[in-house]
Amino acid sequence: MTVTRMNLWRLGNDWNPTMLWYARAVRDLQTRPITDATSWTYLAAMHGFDQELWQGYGYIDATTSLPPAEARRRDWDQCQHQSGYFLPWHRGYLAAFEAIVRASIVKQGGPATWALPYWDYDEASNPNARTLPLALTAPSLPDGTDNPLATPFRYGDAGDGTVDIDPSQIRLDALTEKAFLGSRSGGSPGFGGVPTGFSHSGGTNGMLESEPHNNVHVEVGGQQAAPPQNVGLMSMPVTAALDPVFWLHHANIDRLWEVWLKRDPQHANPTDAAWLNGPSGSGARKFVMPDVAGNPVFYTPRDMLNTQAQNLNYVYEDTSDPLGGAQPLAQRAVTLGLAAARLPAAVGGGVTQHAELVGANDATVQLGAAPVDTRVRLDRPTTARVIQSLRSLAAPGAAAREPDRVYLNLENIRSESGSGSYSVYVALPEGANPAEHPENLAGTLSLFGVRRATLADGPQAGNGLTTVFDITNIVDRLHMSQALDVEHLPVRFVPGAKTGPQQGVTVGRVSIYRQAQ
Amino acid sequence: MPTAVVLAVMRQGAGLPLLLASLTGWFILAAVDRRYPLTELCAASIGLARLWYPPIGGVGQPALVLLVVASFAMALAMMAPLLTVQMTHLWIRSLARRRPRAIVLFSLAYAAVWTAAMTLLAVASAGLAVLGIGWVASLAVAALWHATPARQASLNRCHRLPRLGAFGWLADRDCLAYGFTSGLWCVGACWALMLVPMFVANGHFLAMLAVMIFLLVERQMPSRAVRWRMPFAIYSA
Repeated sequence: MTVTRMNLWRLGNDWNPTMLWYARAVRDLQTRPITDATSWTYLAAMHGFDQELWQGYGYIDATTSLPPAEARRRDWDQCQHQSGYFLPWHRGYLAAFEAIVRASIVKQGGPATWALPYWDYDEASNPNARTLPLALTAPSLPDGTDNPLATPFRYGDAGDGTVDIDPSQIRLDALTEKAFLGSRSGGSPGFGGVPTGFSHSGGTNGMLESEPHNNVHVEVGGQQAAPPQNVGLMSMPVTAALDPVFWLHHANIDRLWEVWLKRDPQHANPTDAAWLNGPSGSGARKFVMPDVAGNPVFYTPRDMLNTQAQNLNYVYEDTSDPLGGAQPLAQRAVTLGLAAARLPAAVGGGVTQHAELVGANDATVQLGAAPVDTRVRLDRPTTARVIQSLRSLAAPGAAAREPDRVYLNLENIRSESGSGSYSVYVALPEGANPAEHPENLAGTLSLFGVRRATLADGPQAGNGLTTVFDITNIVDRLHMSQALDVEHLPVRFVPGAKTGPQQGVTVGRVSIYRQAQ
Repeated sequence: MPTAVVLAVMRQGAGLPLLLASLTGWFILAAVDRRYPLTELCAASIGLARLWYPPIGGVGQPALVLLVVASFAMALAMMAPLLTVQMTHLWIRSLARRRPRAIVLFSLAYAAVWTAAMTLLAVASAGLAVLGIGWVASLAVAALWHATPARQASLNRCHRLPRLGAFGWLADRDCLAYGFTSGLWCVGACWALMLVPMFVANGHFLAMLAVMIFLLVERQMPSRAVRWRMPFAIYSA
């Protein structure tokens, strides 16, 4: 039977049956030993495991017997990030978790129709949407026992245990990206990410993964304001799934995949075999999840396309478009002063053109607790090509083709800490207060996943991560105000969270790319 | 399975040009081999020792030049297919008009390191051959090196994608430095296995091909924790 995943806040700010059963099931899973594939800790370790950190948080100790090495190699440290597999892998992960939780609920006498709620932090009609309801924060259940859904290791952006996400951190611009798969060429990384092999820690964030996914992780997990300044569970992939909020956050990310598909007839999942078959090449690990009995079940992205198929069997309460049908092309037409009739007729189709470097800053940027400025030097001939493309649409009889899109690349982001975020502004007027210029906000750089990518001998070889922001709208406005034909474009990093790393965060290069459409 | 990996590498943007560069290396080697058999040039006999030590009957400077040319060609033949990630990085992170320049600068530095290393390895192999070391012993040395943490650390650093300046001499410097450091780490990761074919008297080319395919497949795997490992077990975590 198809179940419906409901909006967390619409269930009520109380101990509604859905959340009460969730709490009881989580408690049940938490009593199971880590050697049990259906236990809370085993399932969390499938996302990521770090023995030292887990001991620090008290989930295991030095005497804990871990599962056999063979099972760990097959199942653990599996989450797909900075990859076009990000969405399908997590869909399988959620479905396995949901089935195991439901089995526990049924065993305890609960409903067989239970489904994982989703946390829609962007719900416009709900002023509380960016906070967490009582069921996730109350110290105890109605019967007075400890609440397993509340963890002491959830610090929020103020570092005091309060979760209240800043609205600027949950922009849904990714929904307007036309292609599911992008590329690592400096242009669009796609709605769903870039093609990779098995990517437990990859290189370039996809657009949805970057915003709002990474940002929400870091905003919820945060870092403790008081000593010992622990980093929250949600701030790092190797601990994130230990926080019960993780599953509700990812249900929303999974829902946004459905929203993206539905909001534009041109949006479509990849059809190439390399994506559909998953990382099944030579020596590559396969995606695998335990069933309710703990037996391994292998899957590929091809199995994750239809949520109403027998292996998934769910729908979302609401997949309406939070952007009200807004299309980036229409927005560009307004900015560029074009009549709707001059809009390019044919775009989309998911073909991503190679991008071209327009300019870069001249040294590694050191980020800290105070705002930091850098300047991207623009290459004149390449900038001229961008300007020419912007002008071409206004010319009489111009071909129906969208002008270049422009992307800001933050390359080789490194940090020893997983917590912290920075709002990145492009072309702020000199002396301006960034908060008064949201139109210059390129995006929010969150450090989720950066710690592991910084390890010299980790799977990312210490290269750090790369995040790409679409700054086409900012560039369009600069062009219209005759301010694009310049030597340098200023970029400012403003610390987003109230707590976070004071030093040791670096961005190897800040660069700008053009991508012909 | 190696065939699938090789095909996947060749499908990458830089795959075909690098395959052509590799083939060029193989052709040069074949040409050198016609003039002066590689089996003698590279060892498996005391031929090279005679080259290096004229008092015991060297064949003169032309043969030394051939040795350097063969060393360069061997590096080109066997290492070029391993450079898809580096070439893609240089291509993407450089201004379009500077891309050829970036690739040339990287390649010069990388090839210089490898040519020097291969020449030294060839000379060393000749000396070892004089001492009676054969391919079995050289394979044992390679296995030992491949088990060490130092070897894994070198291999991990072959995956580094450094910052590249976009303009002027800073961009040139970064490309040269990238080629030089990539070459050094690559030599560190591959020297022991590259030594083995030099001791294979019959089937010299086949041994080189086998080593190249192994290194190519291994290079597609992500970097791993630095510790003692079972040698040549490239699929273990």
